This record gives sequence, C-alpha cells and structure tokens, in this order.
Amino acid sequence: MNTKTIKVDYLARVEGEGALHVAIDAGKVESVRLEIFEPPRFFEAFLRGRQFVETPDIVARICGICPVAYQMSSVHALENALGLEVSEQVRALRRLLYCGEWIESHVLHMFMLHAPDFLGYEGSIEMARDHPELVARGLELKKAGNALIRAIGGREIHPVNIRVGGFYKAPETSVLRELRDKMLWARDAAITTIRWASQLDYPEFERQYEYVAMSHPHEYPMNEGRLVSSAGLDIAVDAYEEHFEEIHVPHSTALHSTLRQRGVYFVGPMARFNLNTSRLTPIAAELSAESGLDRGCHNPFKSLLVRGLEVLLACEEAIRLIDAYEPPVDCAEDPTPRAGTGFACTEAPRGILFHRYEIADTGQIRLAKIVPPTSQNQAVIEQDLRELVGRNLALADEPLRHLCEQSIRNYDPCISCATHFLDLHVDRR
Amino acid sequence: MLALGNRFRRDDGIGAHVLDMLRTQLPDGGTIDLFERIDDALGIIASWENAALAVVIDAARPGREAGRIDRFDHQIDLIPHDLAACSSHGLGLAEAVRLGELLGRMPERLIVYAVQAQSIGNGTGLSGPVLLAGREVFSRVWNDLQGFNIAPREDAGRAV
Repeated sequence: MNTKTIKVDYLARVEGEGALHVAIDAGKVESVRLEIFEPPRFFEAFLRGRQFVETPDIVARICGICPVAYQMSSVHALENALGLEVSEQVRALRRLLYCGEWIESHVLHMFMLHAPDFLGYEGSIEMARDHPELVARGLELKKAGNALIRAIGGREIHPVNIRVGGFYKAPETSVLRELRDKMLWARDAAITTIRWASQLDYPEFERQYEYVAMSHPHEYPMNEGRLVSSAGLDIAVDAYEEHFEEIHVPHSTALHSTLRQRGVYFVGPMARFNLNTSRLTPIAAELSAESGLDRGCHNPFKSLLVRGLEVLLACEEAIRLIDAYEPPVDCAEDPTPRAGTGFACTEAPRGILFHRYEIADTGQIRLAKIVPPTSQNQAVIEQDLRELVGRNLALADEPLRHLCEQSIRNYDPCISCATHFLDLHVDRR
Repeated sequence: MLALGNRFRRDDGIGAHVLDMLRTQLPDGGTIDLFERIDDALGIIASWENAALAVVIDAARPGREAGRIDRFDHQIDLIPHDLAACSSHGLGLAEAVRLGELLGRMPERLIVYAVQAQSIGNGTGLSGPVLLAGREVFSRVWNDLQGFNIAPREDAGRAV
C-alpha cells in the first residue's frame, strides 16, 4: 500500500470554512467527502420563541455577504403565513434591494475570490499588484451595489429597514435618482467585465446536472415565482418539502439536500441562467451569445461569466426600477399575528434559499426551517470533485489540490451560512 | 468605526459590543460612521477610504490570554497577516490593508484593536475577560477620537 496525504490548512478564497477528503485507490477515485462542520442549526433554534417581527433582523446575521437574501425569504414566508400581501411599490423596492445584493455579492466573488484562479495568482493581493485597474473596478462595482442596499435598506450590512409587511421607511425619489448615474456606470463596467471574462482560459469540464431555480412569467427571478428544474419539475414554493428533503450524511454536519427519488441537484447562477434565458434583457442576451453561452452554460468553471451576466442584469433592472419608482403611499402593511405556517423561496446570489415558519397565535415563532443554497449544493460539489479528480489523476498532488479548490470556488459557497473550517486531504493508495 | 466579526458568535462580537457602547455616547448626525460585520476586504476598503481616521475592532482567534488587547497603529506598526483570521471572513483585515495600500485607498490614519477571544462558538454574550476588555477598548477608542473634538451626546449616560 502506498499512501500519500496532502494537507492544506484552509480552503482559500471561500467564504467560511470546510474540509475535503479525497481517497484514490489503484488509480480509481474511491471517495470524495466534503466535510462541513456545521454548527448546530443555531439560528433555527434561536428564532423559536421570538416574535415574528424580529425575524428579518435576526436572520440577516446568518450571513454578512447576503443578508438581504435571508431577510427577503423570511419576510415573504412570514407574510405567507399571515395572509399578508404587499403593494406593487413595495414589491418593486424589494426587487431593487435584491439587485444591490446580487451586484455586491457576485462582484466580491468574481474579482476577489474567483478571478485569481484564471489569471494564475494565488490570491487577490498578488493579482492586484499586476492588475490594479481590475481590482479597482471590482471595488467600485461593489460600492455601487452597497449604495443601493444602503439607500433602501438603511445600511449596507444587516439592513435595518426591512420589516414584515414592507419597509419602515420608503426612500425619497431623489435619493434613488442620485444613484442612477452610478448604476449606469456599473452597467457599463459589467459589460467590460463580461468581455474580459469571456477571454479567460477555462478548464474543459461539462457533465449532466439537474438545475433547479425559480421561474417567473415576466422577469428574471429574484423574490417570486415557481420552482422549476431542467428535468421537468414545476411546483409552487409551498410544495418544496414534498419534493426536496434534507438527509444526514456521516461525514458532514451540514445536511445534504436531494430531490426525492431523483437525487442530486444544482442551484445558483448557472441554474438560474439556464432555466431563464428567455428572461434575459437584450443586452444580456447579446453578450451571452458573444461569450458563447447562447445555448446555456454547463461548465461550472464558467460560472464567473454567468455571474458577470447577472451583475449586468441587476444593473439594468436597477436602472429600470429607479426610473419607474413611485414611493409607496404606505410602506408597510401592519401585520396582525395569527397562527399559521408560511413558506417562501427567493434567489439568493448563490441559489434558492427556502424558509418555512410556524407562528403561534401570539406571534411567537414555533418553528423555523432555513435551507441555504450552499447546503443544497454540497452533493453536486462532491460529484464534481469526484469527476474532476477522476479525469486528472495524472496530476501531481499540488496542482490537483488547486484544481479541487477551484472547483469548489465555482459554486461561491457561502459556507459561513453552514459551516466552520476547512482542511484538504488527498489519500492515494 | 469598523466592527468586524459576528455578534452571534460569542467573543467574535466584541467589535459590535464596543460599537454599541459608542452609540450611547456619540451625537446623532455626526461625522463618525459605524459599520458592523463587514465580512470582506472590499467592503472594509469601501468603508474606510476617504476617512480621516478608521478604527477597526475585531476578535483574535483563541489561543492566548483571553481578553488581551493588542493595538496597532498603521503609521508605525505592521498589521499581522493572521490577525483577523478568527471568524468567517473570506478576505479579512490584513488583506484589506494590503489591497488598500496597493490601490491607494487607505484612510489617513488606521488603528486596529484586536481582543483575544475565549470562545467563538455559536451564541450571544461575551466571556468575562472579553467583556472587561471591551470597556478598556471603548476608553481607548474614545481617547483616539479626542483629536476630532467629539463631545458626548447630551443624554449620554454611562456607556453600557
């Protein structure tokens, strides 16, 4: 027996932490285990007994990169439980807020976490020394997204203006109009970025996936729609748990999500893009074709390109919403507590984020269930790794380790929503 | 004022705790911006650029004496590379400093307070040593602000 172990202290450039074990025996991949040491489902437990009105402010703290996603899924689920409908103006404001988060979250990943892989750098610092203009563009794009969140959410980290029923205060029209020029610049910067990304050298890697995303009859999905898949799933969000289940795998404390009787599935920008190409704006569709993605994107390494397209979509949508903005007459419907169960799914930057709440007639949360997109992608990440390692057994351990890390980074896993730390071990026997 | 870390991970919330104390003292509508839990280098840079003074407060990974306070003044000290490797940051403070220097996006003055954590598990509330350290950090930060003629708000009581 000849055993070789490669250990990496941490998986670089991934939000949060995790551990990866790959076992190779006689030239065959025996097992791939992405070990996520998830803290006990702290927030689900923490919410029990709290008043439902506290939920948006609490769940925002699950993630420092995507707080809006958690807030949006929570308010939609709670409004579903309470039988509350918001106005069109509130709906539009929420969509504009989500545009801000998509921009800042995608840009952070593209420029700081993913781009170094394709330019041959260990990290963004080294990349910034040689490409300061690239990093500076990323910084300004992130600031544009943050500005939208701050204008509507009250502050850019853990927005404070979101409530069940709407917002505490609607932004003045002048405040949003002031952001229009910034969003015009951001749109053009996104186009530049997509064209830059389309010239990068991507590893060849495609395989069959079942993509799952939301779908809306009129718009690229963010807050609303049905759940659909590339294998024919088409369900209302409240049927999520009839079709998806979380299972415990021995090697991970993060639960794995599967489609009942079908297995592994894929969420996130690539799934959204492939299932919603008819909802692209003309500019996004043109750039998608220019980038060779007009028939879809099935190479997860090219998710960088897809994120660029979604940044462009978010910028265009933000401009449209700013131009059409009318402050709501009432920025919130006052919620009346009642016993009930509510469901919601929104498209976090990393994929569908499902929430379910059971509320008592006192307004206290009796049960909270939160299924983050990164949890849902654990299994497909492992499958990618198994396939990738199998195709690259001839590589020495160090480049193989780097390729595995890069493969995980394709999914922009926000493991801070689900886990704690990472090591990489490759055992060759 | 930038508080890194997560107030739902016990001592990782020391920065947020100090910001809470500052909020009770700082006047409304002043020239001081408070940022909590900025989890990435770009966000840190976006927060502190154009600032005359940026003060960053974060927890340091457990391993040394809990509650120990290390203060770094960027004008004279090197910010340790692993200083902010405590919580779930992708690219943290040290990277923000290096990127900020490369891009010319640094505040005029940067001071960092790192408080040695005892526990960074899930939950709220600071450990005893870190809670005590928080009061000391608050005093030092208030002292750092004295060059900017910041008077406490009229209804300021004792900081919590």
